[in-house]
Amino acid sequence: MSTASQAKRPIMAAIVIVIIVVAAVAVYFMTQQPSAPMTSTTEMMTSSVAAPSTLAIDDPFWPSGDLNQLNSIYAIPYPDWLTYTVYQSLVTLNGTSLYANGDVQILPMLATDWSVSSDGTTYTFNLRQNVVFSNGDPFNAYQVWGQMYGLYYLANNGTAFLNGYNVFDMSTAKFGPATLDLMAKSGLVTPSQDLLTIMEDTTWPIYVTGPNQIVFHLKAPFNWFPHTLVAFVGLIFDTQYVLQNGGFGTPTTFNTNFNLKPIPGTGPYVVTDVSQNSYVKFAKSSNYWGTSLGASDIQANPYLDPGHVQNVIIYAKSDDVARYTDLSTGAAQISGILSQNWPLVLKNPDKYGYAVMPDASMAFVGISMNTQRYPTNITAFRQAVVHAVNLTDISQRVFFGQLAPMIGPEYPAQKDWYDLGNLPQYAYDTTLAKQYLAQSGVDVSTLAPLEFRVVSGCTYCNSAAQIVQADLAQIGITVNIEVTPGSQWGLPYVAGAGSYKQGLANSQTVAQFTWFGTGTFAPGAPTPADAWLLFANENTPANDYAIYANPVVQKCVDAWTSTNDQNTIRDLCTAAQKQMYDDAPYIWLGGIKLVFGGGSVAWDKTVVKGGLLDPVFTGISSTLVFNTVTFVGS
Amino acid sequence: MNLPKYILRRAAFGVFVLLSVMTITFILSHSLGGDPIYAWLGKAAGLHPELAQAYIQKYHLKDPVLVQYYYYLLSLAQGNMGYSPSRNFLPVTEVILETLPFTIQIALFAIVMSLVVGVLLGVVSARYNHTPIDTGIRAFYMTGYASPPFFVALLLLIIFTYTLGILPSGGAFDPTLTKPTWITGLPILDSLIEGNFPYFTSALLHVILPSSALALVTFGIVTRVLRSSLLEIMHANYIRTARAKGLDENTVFYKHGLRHALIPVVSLSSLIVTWLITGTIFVENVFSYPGMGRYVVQALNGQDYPGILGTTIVFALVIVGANLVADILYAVVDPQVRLG
Repeated sequence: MSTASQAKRPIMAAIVIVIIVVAAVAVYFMTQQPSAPMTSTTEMMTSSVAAPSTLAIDDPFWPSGDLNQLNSIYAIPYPDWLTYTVYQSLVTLNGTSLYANGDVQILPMLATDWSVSSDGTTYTFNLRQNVVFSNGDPFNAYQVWGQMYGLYYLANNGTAFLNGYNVFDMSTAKFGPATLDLMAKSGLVTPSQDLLTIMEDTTWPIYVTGPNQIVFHLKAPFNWFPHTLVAFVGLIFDTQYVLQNGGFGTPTTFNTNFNLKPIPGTGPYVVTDVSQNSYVKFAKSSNYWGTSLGASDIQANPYLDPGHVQNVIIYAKSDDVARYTDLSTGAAQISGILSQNWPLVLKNPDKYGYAVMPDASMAFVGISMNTQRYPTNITAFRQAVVHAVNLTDISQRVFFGQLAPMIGPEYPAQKDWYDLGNLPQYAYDTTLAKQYLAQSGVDVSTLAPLEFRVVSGCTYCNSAAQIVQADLAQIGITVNIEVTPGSQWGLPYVAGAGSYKQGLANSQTVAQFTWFGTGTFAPGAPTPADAWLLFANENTPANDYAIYANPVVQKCVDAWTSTNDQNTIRDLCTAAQKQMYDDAPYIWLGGIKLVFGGGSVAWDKTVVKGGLLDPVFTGISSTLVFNTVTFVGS
Repeated sequence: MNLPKYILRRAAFGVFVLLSVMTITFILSHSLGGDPIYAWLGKAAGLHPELAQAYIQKYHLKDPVLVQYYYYLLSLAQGNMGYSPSRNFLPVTEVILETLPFTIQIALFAIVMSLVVGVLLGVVSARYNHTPIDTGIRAFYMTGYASPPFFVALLLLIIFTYTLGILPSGGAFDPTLTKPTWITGLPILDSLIEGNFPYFTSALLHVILPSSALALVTFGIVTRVLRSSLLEIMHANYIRTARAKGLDENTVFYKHGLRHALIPVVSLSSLIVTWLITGTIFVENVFSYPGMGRYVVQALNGQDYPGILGTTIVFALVIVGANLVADILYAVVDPQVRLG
């Protein structure tokens, strides 16, 4: 090789490096500029764009479980864009007061009213009449009955099929393939006498008394039973259609026909086209029963809104830059923006509005401490930890200051049951933390690094974990953060995915610290019992990330589904909350106010006025419930 | 050895490679750790233990790896690649049939772009070697070559969509348009055949950025190899003879030199296919293009063994097939290869 060629190599390498660096810097500065408006700034400030004929929404996720509503026993699809847009439930919540103040107010939806027996075990729902599904099939009590038992069957006859709430004694319900065959032969519009005999059997926990009334008989009183019907398994679909199109399937082989051709619902929209992993198109349903609702009806019950746009397309776009680009160029009017590009939304308050949850919500972020493994099995050690973590710092640096204080385990939105003991948040006090540490008897100088698991792909989880790591280092505790793939976010490494008992059996492999869930945590049902039943219950099937149980706490847990005496529940849970506060199995970082923790659902303010999120604080969907979206100028 | 025998030998080797890839992937995917039932069912595994048990029994999740592999081979022999938990237990073959055409679209466009741009720049670079033009081209292809495909993808997204607003940010086509009927299975081609020009235009616009992102990374290999090959050939004796005969330099270069210099590019094409296929995994996720690359990421995140294996088999088939075609073409062009 010639000397000239040899001399040119370093020059070329330098040119390549310079080009790459220049490109990266240019990209950085390009993305820091406010986006070029499609009209002049003056025009944008003084006039609005007309409401579109098609609303385009970008979402970061394609629904796991596709659009198959049979998956509701798995608490998927997630995100379920069909919640209240295509499917409705017997009851719902007042979305306006929910997101304005965190008030949990139950309202009728497909049921017009309901009554409770004096012992609190029997709920009778009167169903709305003259309602049809989008394909014209009638909605009636037989359909609801068929759906409930069909899902029970798909859960392999698991008694907790209703969103994890084990409220029914299913021993009397002899439901199986033979009953499904009978349902298929008879149909659910005008069932045969043989099927009616089974449906009207009052020894079964769920039975009908006629086409417009359905009864749920619980094994023990539960004051908040209607709240369990608000989402997931409570979303009503056309069971007749299911039976005519291949049936439910089996517990290990669901009918996948409905993955991309969803089952009809009673909601204001229908799905018109699906491209898997790409988009879902919706159009207004001509059969929606709520089309004639007046403005006052809708104001009182906003999730019944028939919608303000004829067509909707929701795109699943995994790249944050792509979603922000669509929002800024007008290709999408609503877009989920994560923390990477969230500062760009905040920099343009005239252009972008975004969803903010109230201080009193039911979505939060937290960290669990393994109460069964050394040294987090020592109460004083855990107390040291909770006083060493700077929650304000985490809120400011990771969540854009949008974390609301939370004293768990109760969700702040459950105002009548929240912080019964009127306890303060754990104070950030390193002196106090060191005192507790000394009290614990743990010698940090010889202590091996503790494990802290966060799920891969959750940027804010990792960022918050790093702050916690630094905070604990101040008191001498070394923590190693282990970013864990989502596929391994379960036992034997993470306790919350399995039952408390399974967590106990695997306690020595579960990390000392675990991020609570795979990001933010939101309930499956908006009941005040939810947090107690999940986070501190020796009988919980999931979500006890700290592998924590205590006899005092268990009395409160058991009371929720054994008595309807609210004073008794209140007394027991006040004591339980104090116990948990002293035991400190969890670090309640706070209630999230932005949908994605470090980002949220943003919209073009010149087109979109606003809309509501789902009734379980994004527990079921990651974008606005689009029939509630209103437009500027309309 | 004669050509048919050569082909058979290469094909047999390809089958061996395929089986090895399948076995290694199966063992590795089952060594990821964790309990797949939690990846497959999420919290439902805890909420419904009876259901979890049913899945464990049906899919032999607690059996030894070799036993699981036996059942997998058995079902594969019956044409069943299994059911994909990350895709709601749809048959893996169905998911692949839905997603593969989109990946093929990107890959085909990227191959054409790589070859066209690569050959063009390789020729120019060799023709004007040791000039600023040559230096500029070499810096350009080395920049592309050194950049990861996802970086190039993001760069293109920011330039052409965010800043210039002339190309879409993602997806495969405008969903408001009527989709073409199935003819070849490739939507772009089908829309062209049936005269659905709005869809064709939309699909073309949507494929430009993802395939460009791939091509910008791989064209450099073609350019570099062609340049080196051309420069070497231009010093060959027969070229000297052609010049001595009085032929002009352009005729010598293009007619005598380039033709032979393209031979190594043929064997390179299999390598390009490999790079492009693996690059689709990154690029499809940046552009939300609904191809197999996106499915691979979903399957990996969901510890979806059937999905991981199914996509690996398909990718391996494509790569082995591309290598086989390249070997055959090379053998046809250069009989000396067969004699080896």
